[in-house]
Amino acid sequence: MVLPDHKPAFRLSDYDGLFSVLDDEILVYQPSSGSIRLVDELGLELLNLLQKSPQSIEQLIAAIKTNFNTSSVENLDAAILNTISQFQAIDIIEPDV
Amino acid sequence: MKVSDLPYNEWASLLASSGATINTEPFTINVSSNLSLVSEGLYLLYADYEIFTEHDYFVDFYVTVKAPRSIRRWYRPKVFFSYDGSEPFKPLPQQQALPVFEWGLNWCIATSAHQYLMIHAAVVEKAGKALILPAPPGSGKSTLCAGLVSRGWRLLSDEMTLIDPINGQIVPAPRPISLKNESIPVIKTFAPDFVFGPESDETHKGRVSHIRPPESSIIRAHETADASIILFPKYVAGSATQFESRSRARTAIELAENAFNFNILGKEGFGLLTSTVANCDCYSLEYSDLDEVITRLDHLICKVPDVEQVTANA
Repeated sequence: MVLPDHKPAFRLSDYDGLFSVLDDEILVYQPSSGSIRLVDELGLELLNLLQKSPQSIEQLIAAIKTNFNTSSVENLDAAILNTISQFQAIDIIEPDV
Repeated sequence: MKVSDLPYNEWASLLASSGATINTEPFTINVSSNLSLVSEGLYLLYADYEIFTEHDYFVDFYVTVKAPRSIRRWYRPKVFFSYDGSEPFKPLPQQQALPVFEWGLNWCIATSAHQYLMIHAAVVEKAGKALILPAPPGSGKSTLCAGLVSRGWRLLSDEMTLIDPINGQIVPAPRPISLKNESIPVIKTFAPDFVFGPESDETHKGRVSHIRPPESSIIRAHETADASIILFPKYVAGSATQFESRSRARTAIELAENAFNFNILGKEGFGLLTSTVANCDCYSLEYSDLDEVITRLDHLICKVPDVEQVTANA
């Protein structure tokens, strides 16, 4: 998926009942495909940030770099973009228009 | 009245005419067959099940296992399975008639009983706590299930774990335990008191034989159990008994992949599955010594706190 050029903010979609936290891991259920995805620590952190308020990619990257131990993530920017793309593809988040 | 209360001749003639209506809780089935292999096999394996002689019971599944009337009766004889009048499978060699009945009935349940979340897993109970054993074919799931049942665990099911969406309880559906290939002599030696049905060779699963469920499991088939442990067993010849904790999240994903109707239940199924897993300890197991693993599981299940205890401590 290609992210749009105008750098929109993203927000959480209406996800009521489609997340489940088991210990320190989070599962996301996608009703349209019936599949379950495991969200990693980075994904969980992004969801936490978006739960507080809609944010742009740049804001998310800045917040993650400030608040998250990034030593285990190679190429953080790409990892965040990839995770945001995946979230958008499974309708957990949507552009905040 | 139990199946074994009927003289065999009456049983066989019932099967060959209107069919026998059997209470295999939580399902009532009506089975008819004109094959002695089926009537003899069911008389042995379903001896302790209740049989309904009246006609006012709701029947979940009408199934028939019959030989054709054509020349096929003599030339490479085949067996047909039909469910409510339709034939969902290709005919198989008649020597496999008994497994065909079991597989067919499993199929009926898996495609119809959507009042439950159904997971492809054996499940046994001790002290009100259910041990769920999901695993791919050939992993040693049924062998371990049979071993546990032979040492006093209650059989809830060898094939499918039924979870009630109303209360999250595991609903028993005890039926004969299906053993394959090398596990047949292993359990015959380990549990010589078990009653085995005839062996069917050259099925698509290899050699197959079924064990009659203990009468106590059938009598208690209405008693549900708390999901407590989810254990993915793997038989590895010569290995030491090794338990390894598993992530609950990854366990939930694997259970969903092994569920018969997860996609049908949708969001409700997801909630039920994850709340079930959240209440369970999850492990992978490698084993080769049945006695040792059963001793370890006896201890492990006793350590799991009761649901009431967890609630009180929360």
